[in-house]
Amino acid sequence: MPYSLTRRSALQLGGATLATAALRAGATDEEADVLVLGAGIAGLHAARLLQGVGVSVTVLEGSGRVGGRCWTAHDIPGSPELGAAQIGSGYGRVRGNAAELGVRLIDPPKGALAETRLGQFVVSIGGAPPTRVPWAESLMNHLAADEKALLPLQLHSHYLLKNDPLVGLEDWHKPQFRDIDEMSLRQYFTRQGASKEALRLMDVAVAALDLDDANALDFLRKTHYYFWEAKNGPYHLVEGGTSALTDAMAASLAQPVAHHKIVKGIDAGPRDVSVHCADGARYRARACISTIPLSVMRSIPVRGTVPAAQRAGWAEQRYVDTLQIFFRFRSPFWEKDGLPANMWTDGPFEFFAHLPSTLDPKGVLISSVNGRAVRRLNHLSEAEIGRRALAELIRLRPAAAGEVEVARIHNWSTYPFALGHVAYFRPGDLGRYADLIGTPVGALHFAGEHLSRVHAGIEGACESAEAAALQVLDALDRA
Amino acid sequence: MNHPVILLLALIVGPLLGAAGTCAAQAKLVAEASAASGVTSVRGKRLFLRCSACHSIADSGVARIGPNLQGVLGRKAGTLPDYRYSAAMQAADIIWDETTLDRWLADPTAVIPGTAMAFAGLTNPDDRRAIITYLSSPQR
Repeated sequence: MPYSLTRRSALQLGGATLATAALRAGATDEEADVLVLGAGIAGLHAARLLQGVGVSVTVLEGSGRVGGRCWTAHDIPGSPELGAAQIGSGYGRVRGNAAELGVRLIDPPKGALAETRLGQFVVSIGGAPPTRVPWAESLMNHLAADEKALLPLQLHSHYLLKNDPLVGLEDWHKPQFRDIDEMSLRQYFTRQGASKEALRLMDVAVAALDLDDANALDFLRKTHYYFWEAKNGPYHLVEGGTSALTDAMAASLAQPVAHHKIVKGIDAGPRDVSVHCADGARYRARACISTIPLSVMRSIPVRGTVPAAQRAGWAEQRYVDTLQIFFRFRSPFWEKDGLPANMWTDGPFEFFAHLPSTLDPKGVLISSVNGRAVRRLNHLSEAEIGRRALAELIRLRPAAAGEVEVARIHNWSTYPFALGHVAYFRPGDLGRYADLIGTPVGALHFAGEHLSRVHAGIEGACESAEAAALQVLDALDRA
Repeated sequence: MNHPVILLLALIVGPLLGAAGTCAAQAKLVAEASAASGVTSVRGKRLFLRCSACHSIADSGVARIGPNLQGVLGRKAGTLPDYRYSAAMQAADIIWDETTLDRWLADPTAVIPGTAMAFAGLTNPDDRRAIITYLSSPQR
């Protein structure tokens, strides 16, 4: 077939360059057609795509596991998801991988968080324990009259979908929305009529450092996407946990993922890329796709012709701080105090929930913190964080005393292979950097959820991986 | 990008150049024509990688979130019996041919507003032509 001939002949043509380079660099270089850095879902998707058209791929992963920010923690009671869980109806690439690999998708169990209605959540404001009084009528509720019925967690989507100017999923790239790119969420919500109290609550809940650090267009387009998708159909979960999918993707690779390959330097030439790892290994390939989160990658020397503005974009990329506390519980204390298990607070631990689990009938009891509040905890030991979270839970829900203990802490901000949870942009940075941060540097290409243009979440990660893989194929053809 | 043409021609035409007269010339023309459509199909197959996550084109295979596109040319939009189309697609009064597919691939939401297909479109008419050529005779 013409394509295979082209690839083989291109390899022969490129062989001369490689041979010379190998002599220069030392006989210990490992050669591959294409290197993929990172075995998260983006790296795995790129590798599978390339492998599917006959390219030999070597995936290097820094940690001892695969999946990246897809992580079903089987060593925690209830097997909670530390990262991605929901497989949206529009997640064609994710669903395509699952279908190809025989990984089943299932309906979320009853009571799963996204189905939450008002009655299944209690709210604590100003440190006051929650009561049976419905939130809309509560004395703790200082929202404006037209906001009062909204739970704090619902305020964001309410104000993002109100007067949503976007229609198509790629509208956000159009110049007429540049003014929204320049706005923070605080400015955007204010313009939409949010009250001071609503802003205060949204500042706690926002999946960013705070409302001022969050690019309104970035959050708008993602919310718009999820809403569009929800109209087209329900989401699903991966049977066995999201890691069942990423594990299967990794297992499908002809060359097993190489673990504990912590990248220490990347040399990006016009026709080949050299990667050096902390264990002394060096890899060279005719092309490389890096899916390393920018939070990590910006500490890795990348030598190549990188425009200053692109490097600035790498340096400026934000990742939300997220800290999760997992509890072990003896009995459902919420049945003792008769209040819903799920609780939202404007305190130091903003979210407590009992999540149903498809892997454990008991479910999972968690607390999570996002944004600035995480920074107030980062300097503490995990034991101390756990102690404070449990103390806060018991203070607000005395029925939990004696029934609950801390099982595990997971802090995305300090996890060295992520240094943050989900990427987001600061006001003005979409216009400044979004088109630059993924520009190939010689034979070095980039992928990851921060580069998605149409979809969001793990589908966005796969979308960017597909684009990078196709760029690589075109580049290999031209070689 | 020209390598597929050059190599294919070289393989097919090379051995024929020694043959006498018109036979060789005709073979060369056929070879060039099939090489040209071969190039389009090769490019079409490459471009179709972007579609293949959601669309299968094989006889059988795993169910994807988009409808199977085998034999789509000549088919009325939204009529595969065992696929759940969006209401907009079901209501569309379109027969897929080279013209309608070209319009569709250029801007899906302009052709069928409310489609569930999340794709902004291909601005390059050669790319669209390549995909449509591939769709009409997928290379195995």
